[in-house]
Amino acid sequence: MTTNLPEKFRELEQWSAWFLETERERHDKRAQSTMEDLRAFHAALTPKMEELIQYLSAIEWGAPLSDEDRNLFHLGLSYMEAAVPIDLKWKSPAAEDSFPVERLEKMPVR
Amino acid sequence: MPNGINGDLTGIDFHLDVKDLFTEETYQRDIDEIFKKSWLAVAHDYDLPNPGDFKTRKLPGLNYNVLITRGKDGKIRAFHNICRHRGNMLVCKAQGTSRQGFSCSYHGWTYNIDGTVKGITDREQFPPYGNEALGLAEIRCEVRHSFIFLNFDDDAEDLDSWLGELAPPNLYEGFFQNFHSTGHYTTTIRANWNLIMDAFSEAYHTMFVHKNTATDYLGGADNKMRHVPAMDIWRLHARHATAANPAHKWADVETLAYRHTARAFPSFDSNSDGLPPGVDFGKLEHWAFDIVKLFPNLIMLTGRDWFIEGYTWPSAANESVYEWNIYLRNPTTYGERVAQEFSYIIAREIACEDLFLLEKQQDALESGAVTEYFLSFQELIVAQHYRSRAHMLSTAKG
Repeated sequence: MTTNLPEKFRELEQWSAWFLETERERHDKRAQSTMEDLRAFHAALTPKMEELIQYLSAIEWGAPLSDEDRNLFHLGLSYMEAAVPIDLKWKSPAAEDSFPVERLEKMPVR
Repeated sequence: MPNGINGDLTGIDFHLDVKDLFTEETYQRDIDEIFKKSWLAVAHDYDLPNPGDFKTRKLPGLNYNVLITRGKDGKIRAFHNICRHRGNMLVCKAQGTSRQGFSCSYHGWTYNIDGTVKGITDREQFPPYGNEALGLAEIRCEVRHSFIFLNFDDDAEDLDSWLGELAPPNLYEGFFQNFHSTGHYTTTIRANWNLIMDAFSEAYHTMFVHKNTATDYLGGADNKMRHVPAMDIWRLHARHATAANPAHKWADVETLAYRHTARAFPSFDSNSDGLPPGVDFGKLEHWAFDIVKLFPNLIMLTGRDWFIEGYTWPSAANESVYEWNIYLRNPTTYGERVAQEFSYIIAREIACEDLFLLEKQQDALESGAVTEYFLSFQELIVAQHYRSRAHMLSTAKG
């Protein structure tokens, strides 16, 4: 499995630990991160997110993806998972006074 | 009584004593007299698009395992998932397609997709029982608004009568079929099923419970207490609309996401043009979404380009299985799908806030130290739930 990204997103390849396929994996990665980790990831990706979405908007939903494009897609999904605690100004990667996501026995595979 | 509330409120009590809710005896009565006699939504017909498609599922509490099929005639049918020979579970797969029908792994009895028995191994060795009697045990099954409803009581009223004002097929015409299915979330919560239904039946809690996800999404300057602008209370079911806050402050990630896909939450698209009459039924200027309560155990949230369904299945006197599913429109591109992820994540986090308090409330009420509810008009659908319960339980007695 490659950890490459499409040419113009090469600088984001250092975030390959976030190339995660399922919501469960992306959530668990968020939960195991510190707020500093999340802030660093968020800060690195935020300036590139508009371009990332536009790049992937040229690919019709359901069309087969190259490995590089699939990595970029999963990275974009991970950004949305990680951005919620940051942009909503939480004190920790999980919201306080919230039912633990870990207790969801079944989560979407996508 | 506030404006916008319609319906017959006879028999609805705002001061309730819930002390008997948590006993084994009540639990068993809830299963026997409510769940085994109500029309229960268990799946969608679009999950079984083609003849031969089937799915199986266990219904917690009722402990039934059901097999739902689409026959060669296109009809959806439901059966107890049990071989008639000696009671083996017939179909072990969660879903699939089988135009040839089903075969029991124990002694090889076979059934057609319509539930009739097809083949009995070494048939001559059996005394004559008659073919018809050996078909799968069928369950009353009807489809409406894409939901597959089952009823385990042969004497129960028909689905049209049960649904009442929610029965007309045009109410949600074309609505539920046009979404991207994402799979279920399921969790077991140590709380009685009635408490879970109560939690999702009112908007009064939103000022406090959603403090980390959606602080300002409802209400607005002219409706600070987030009063429900439209509500219908029917015999068993109910619905209400929620008012969007036009001054909702967008998070950066929300702005990014909703540049590339339809708004879901916590910002809303209030334009309901082209939607069927059941959606934005209140025709609100600042419409957020509708909440539809289908007694006993389904709450649906319907918005411009999304819907959420939540099912509460009692599994013990103090425990329930809660299943919910978030649907958004089919994405056109992978870029739009990335943007939609924001809606999925924020919806999941909002739901987790709703679920958070329930186990603590269960502990507190189960102690018996305090057992009363003091409800407001904004919690009318909570109060009505107990009238619907009483209706089912008294019908059973009588």
